[in-house]
Amino acid sequence: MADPRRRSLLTAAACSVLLVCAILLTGTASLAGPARAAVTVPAAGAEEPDCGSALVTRTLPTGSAWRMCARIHPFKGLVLEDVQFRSATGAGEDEGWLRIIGSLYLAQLNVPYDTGTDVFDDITEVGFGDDHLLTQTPETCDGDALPVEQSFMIGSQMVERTIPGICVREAETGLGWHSQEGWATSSDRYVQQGRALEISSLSKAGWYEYQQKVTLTDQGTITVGLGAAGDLAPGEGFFRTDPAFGWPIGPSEDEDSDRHAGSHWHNAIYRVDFAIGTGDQQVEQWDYEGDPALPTRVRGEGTIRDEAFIAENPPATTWWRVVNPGALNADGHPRSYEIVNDAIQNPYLPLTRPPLSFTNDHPCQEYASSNLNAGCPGQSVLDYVASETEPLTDPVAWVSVGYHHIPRDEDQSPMPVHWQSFSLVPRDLLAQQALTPPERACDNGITTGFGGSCAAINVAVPAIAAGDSAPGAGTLLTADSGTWRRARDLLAYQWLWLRDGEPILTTGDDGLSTAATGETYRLTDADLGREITVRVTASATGVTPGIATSAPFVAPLPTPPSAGATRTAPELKLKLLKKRDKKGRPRLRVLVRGDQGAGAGVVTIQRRGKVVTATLTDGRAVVRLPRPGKRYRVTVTYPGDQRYLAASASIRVRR
Amino acid sequence: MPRHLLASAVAAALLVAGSLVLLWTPSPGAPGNGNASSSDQFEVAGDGALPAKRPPLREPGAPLSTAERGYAIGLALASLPDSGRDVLDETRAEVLAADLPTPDVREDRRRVQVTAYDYAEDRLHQILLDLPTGRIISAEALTGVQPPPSTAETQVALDLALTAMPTPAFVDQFRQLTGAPLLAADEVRVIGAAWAPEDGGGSSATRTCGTERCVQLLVALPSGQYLSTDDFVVNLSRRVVTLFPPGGRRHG
Ligand SMILES: [Cu+2]
Repeated sequence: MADPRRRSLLTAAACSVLLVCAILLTGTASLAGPARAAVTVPAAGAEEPDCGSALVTRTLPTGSAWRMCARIHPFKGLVLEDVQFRSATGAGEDEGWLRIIGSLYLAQLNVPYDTGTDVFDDITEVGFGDDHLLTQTPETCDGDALPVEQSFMIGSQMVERTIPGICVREAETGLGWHSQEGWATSSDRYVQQGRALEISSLSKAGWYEYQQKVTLTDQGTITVGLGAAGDLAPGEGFFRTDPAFGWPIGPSEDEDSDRHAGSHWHNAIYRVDFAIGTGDQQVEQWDYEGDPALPTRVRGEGTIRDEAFIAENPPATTWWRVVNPGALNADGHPRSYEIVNDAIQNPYLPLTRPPLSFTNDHPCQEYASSNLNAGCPGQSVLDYVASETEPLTDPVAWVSVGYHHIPRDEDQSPMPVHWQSFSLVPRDLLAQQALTPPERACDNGITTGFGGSCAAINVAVPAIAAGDSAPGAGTLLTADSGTWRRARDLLAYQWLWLRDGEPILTTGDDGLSTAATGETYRLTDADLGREITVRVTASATGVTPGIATSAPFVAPLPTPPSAGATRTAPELKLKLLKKRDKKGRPRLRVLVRGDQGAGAGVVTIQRRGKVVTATLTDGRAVVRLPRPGKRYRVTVTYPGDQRYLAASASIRVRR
Repeated sequence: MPRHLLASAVAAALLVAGSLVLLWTPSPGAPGNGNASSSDQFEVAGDGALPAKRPPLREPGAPLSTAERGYAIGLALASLPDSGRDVLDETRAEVLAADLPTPDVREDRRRVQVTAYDYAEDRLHQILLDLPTGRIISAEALTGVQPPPSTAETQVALDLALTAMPTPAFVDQFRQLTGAPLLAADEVRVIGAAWAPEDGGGSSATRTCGTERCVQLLVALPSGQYLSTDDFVVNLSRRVVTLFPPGGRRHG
């Protein structure tokens, strides 16, 4: 997972090196704040949905975010409205909230049993809300269970309840991406685990119970799923002896009288009202044609469908997207969402057979069949398409997602959940993927294929060397560049020396102040006893600059000229305390004593090139060390003071 | 059973000490009941009466408060003729749903769509209200559309099935399974579903379902075990229970 702090630093570095330096030279203490503000363009973005307690906003740990309204409708159950996505790294036009969906819900659930004797329309005959909505518990929902207020009339009386009814949880989606440069295991490797937001509810529609679940990933994909739970249909009526209509369940007696649990379909039809940006949207269909003379040659052709239509028996290779020609991503491509429906469809019913139908958004066209809206009563998607007279500019997708349930012995109580789903996948919603790491930020279009990082990424911070003699005024400090990940172009480095975190200014002969830059710096009296660091900015043409700062170097204060006094060697004792801290981190006690009493000043603690400092109090300091993944060695250095010489000791830290 | 007796029986069965017993909630001790709690129950909102005054209104897309929903229902019912009757034969239409209309119809205002069924005329009313003004935006009445049954309708249908002659199979099945006769509706759990024969199907007794309001029932023992209820439908408009002949096809 990307380190968000590192990312913000890199964003800061996105301004030019000169700008970074200018900010540093003005003595501004915080780098990230002002530099960030300088590059952040306030995004226009979509307005926040106006739905009070129904508003769900969630930023995933990978940085992308979703927001929408989530409600429970008396018949439809879970309804999502005004669904918006914000990518983690989209820049320019792609920054901020992008509106995608106006509304999304299950518009019919048709359950015919294969015997032909029983058909249930669970949405328009039973309903998923009111007292059919099931209470979320910690067992059903390990995330946040949102309260759902419900009320309806019984006779002349209003009744009500508020139950935890919508589950909002985060899910891991497995490997988000993986890319390794070169073949050596030591070569640079870009990996991230994906995350998603899940919004769901549970409803009881009889012996069957359903989970309505919408999964929204950190890449902008929306998967709409229906999970069937509960139990198989009971009773004689659903257990026939004819094996053509079911499957034998339970102990078999003899073949002729064997009872077969009834096979059936779960035919779900979803209504998706697209709202990609503002203004008219289009439906584009892509068809592919092979070449008999050259079978690997496949020609694709996109067609704008400008009238409502039913996708009747489309080839498996044909696909559709809803595109807004007026809403362009940062690359100037029109934003769109592709409908990916890999489910099967019940082919025996005209309503469920087409995987997809498109109409304009008409408020009265609420349900996919047996419509309950008085504006177009009793109608179905077939009627809606037939009656559409206007060009298709405000598309609603009716997505048919089937599941032919042939019961198994394993489907007995409690029946394991069986799933059916379709997805809405972004296509050019953004100029690049939603979580593009800085190392790949420049991989857009023809730059693809070049190796190396798009950003200067520091692997080991710069180090300061002072030579062998005891440091003091006049000592020449030399810094290296640190170690950086291989970048797209050769990195150049700039050094800036800091005293206690502030740039060191030197006054030249002309009386002008200049910053101490360059690989070397000569200590002055003003530096003694202070923390000297060097900040390296790495940059190259076409590469986002990066910044890394060394561990502090402290030169001791000069020994006061007290006659006859000679500095003696102190005793530097290290001890790992038996009790680690609450997080299991080892605690190191440093003790500096000698014949002239307790040591004073600062000690430096070094581990694998990383350095921290601690101030001695009465000759003691206790330092928390990182929890060891494997054992490591820590070296503690005492620079000495007026009474004591420098000393150094090390200790091994076990797991 | 005369209608007024039925009405009081239903009210008593549904509202025990002001708390609505969920029709399908398994009783305590039943398998899978580990998480049921009393807070799952519907309770009478305040004194149960519909608010006459406009309550504070929420954001256009927010879920309806009980008061907003009640206020909208009150406005909708007041706009309907006095001759209307609900499933309990009281003077009002049976309210089936009241919720937000689709976003386009909302026009960024607080609006409610109320759906109610008038048993006196077997008509469905759908009324769109603007809550800030109390104005009716549109009102339509039609026949032949049958939304899911209300809790009261499902209960009435069960009561009718229990007392029907001849009795549906589940009544006998209950006796066989429990050793006791099924006398009261609260001894079983029930889910109701609106029902109509497939196009062109149905017997002479069921062909009117669709234009009239019919319900099929899924009935379970408190243990969760379902009884066979595929041998009948209840016509709420006529208050009759129609049994299918053995092996009959309900959708044939
Ligand atoms: Cu199934």
